[in-house]
Amino acid sequence: MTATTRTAFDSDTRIQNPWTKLYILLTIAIALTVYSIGAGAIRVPVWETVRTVFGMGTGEFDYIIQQYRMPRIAMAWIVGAGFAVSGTMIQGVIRNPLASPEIIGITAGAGLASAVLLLGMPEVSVQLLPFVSFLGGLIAAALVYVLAFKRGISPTRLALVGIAVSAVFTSGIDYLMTSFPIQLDMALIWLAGSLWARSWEQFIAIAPWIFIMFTGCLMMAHKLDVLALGDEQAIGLGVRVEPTRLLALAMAVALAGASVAVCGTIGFVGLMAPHMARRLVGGQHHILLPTAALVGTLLVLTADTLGRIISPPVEIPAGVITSIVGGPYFIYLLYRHRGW
Amino acid sequence: MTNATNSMDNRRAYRRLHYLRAFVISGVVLIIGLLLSTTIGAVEGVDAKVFFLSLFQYDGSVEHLIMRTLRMPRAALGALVGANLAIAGLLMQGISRNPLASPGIFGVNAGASLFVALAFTSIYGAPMVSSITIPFFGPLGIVPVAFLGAAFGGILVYFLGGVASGRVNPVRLVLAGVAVSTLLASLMKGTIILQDENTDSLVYWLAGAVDGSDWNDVRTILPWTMVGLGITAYLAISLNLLALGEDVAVGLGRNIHVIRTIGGLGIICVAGSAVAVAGPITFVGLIVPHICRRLIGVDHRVLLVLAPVLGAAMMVYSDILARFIAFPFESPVGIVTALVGGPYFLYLTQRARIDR
Repeated sequence: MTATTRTAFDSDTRIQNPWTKLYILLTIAIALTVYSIGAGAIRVPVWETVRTVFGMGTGEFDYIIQQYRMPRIAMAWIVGAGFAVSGTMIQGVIRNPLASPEIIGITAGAGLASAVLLLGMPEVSVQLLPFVSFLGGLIAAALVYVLAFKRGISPTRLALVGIAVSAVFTSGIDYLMTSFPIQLDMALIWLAGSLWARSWEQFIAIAPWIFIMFTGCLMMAHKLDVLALGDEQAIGLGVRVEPTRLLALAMAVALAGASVAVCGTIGFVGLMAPHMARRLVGGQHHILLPTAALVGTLLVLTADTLGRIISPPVEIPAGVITSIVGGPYFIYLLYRHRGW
Repeated sequence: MTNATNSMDNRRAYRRLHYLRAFVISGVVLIIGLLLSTTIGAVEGVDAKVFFLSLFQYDGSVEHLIMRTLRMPRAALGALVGANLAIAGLLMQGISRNPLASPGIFGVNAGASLFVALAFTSIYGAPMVSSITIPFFGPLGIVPVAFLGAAFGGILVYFLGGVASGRVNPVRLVLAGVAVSTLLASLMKGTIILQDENTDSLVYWLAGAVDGSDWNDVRTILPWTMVGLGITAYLAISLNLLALGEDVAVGLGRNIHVIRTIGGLGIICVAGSAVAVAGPITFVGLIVPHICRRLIGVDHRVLLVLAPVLGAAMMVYSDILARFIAFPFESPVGIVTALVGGPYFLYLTQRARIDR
């Protein structure tokens, strides 16, 4: 088992300097951000965009950029990073190349919990959303973990149980969506995963949560590296395996849960980003985690930008686009890891 | 010698009795379900008596009208959709030799619904499609479109999952199916969002529903149920041999490619028509064949009778439950089948040796 799964974490790219790659990614992300702020139904020239962002513009685009575009782009950054880091943690801890927040049921659980909160108690503060969503994700993940546990966790069993649990939770979401038809249009977009109409309020509710969790993940990077060597080696090197694993999973749930809470399931980002990052910079978590975060950001930003420019003024939800890319990528992964 | 033949005869007789019992019980369960389904609803006073009277002495009263134009087609459609899905699951599990095969998991439903959603957009024009009528088969509607979609989704998963290349790890196929389904579902959501009309009804249809159906829907699906049953009957013995292993089936003179092609066509007919009238309904096709196998064993000649009956019963009862979720409002029946089927799927993964 270990012999076959480990191939997923060997990187055969010869790494010259991972930090350089990280900075290149960062530059691309910033460039894309600037372009993305200007793109959409109303186009803003690049230079005007930059000036407006720093408050030195002509004032013509102030409102649209500062109240519409910037919050959603900011959201794309943290949500993309949230999904990607969550996926990296899960794949690292479970040592399953196909694990992701979707597969192990976190997003469905978090989605259901936040749907209940949003539709059932709309008057409740948005600040509560990450906690409720985290709770939902936690319940789903715990359920999957317990049901899949049978003398250890096998990747295939985990995937199957995750699919089943997700199906049940998703039917719950379906039920809510069909019983509260007032906000159906919005619900559909939200279910497909979208950054449409996100505001600074939601950003402020989520951002600290994601930053804290991300820092926590970075602090665990060394332990995660050791864990990747296998349980016995990790114990031999003085890491308490089970507590570490549970803590890492809890953080993964928190990150994915918070992201789902504000923009629904942006599919496959949590699956794709870690693999891409691993191919870029290798498997050491102190560099892998930030790289994955950036890759996730890039994926979500690109999807969101594309969704806005394909046929304005109609928007295609970012989740639709990431799924269209992610489905084939997932199948490619199935081929690459055909050992099991 | 005589003892041996005697005991053989005894066993055969016993098995026949066992089959008969299973058929009778499931038939009775289905009939009770149909009766309940036609008598439970938001309007009071439509009871079993009305059911029989409206059949034989139709008097045009409101109760009779409700019975004949709302309740009966709905129950019949539910039963037929359930039967179709069960046949589809049986055929899929038979030809792929994969215990987790089913139209919901393997992208067939998702493909069909994507194409149906596309058909409703302005590109194809819904009025044009539904106005085509062929004799005997009734209004053609969106059925052929759904067939195309079902074939598209199924074939995609079939090849990507590696069935064609001989690797048969069931879980791989499931994962490929889930990925393809997600992909197709995303395309479909994109389509719906872009076209911006009928969104409410499409979302409802997407969750899987049989309410609001009429006899036209029943006429649309019935011939395809027959086709599916016929194909299953034709393939029954081949499927029994295939269950022993591909080598055995080949050794006994069966052409696996022919079996798979015919079976695939059958799946497309039953699953595609079911999606066309009722939307993508999950888990019925997966769990009903398993229940049947537990009840009466693995002989497809018998399974092909029991599976449609139990599938129909499962749908009819799920539809009844769906009415109670938010009574007196209707909920899509697909929610109930997912709620029931998800745990059963879990149970299957716990029991079956699919994770090696």
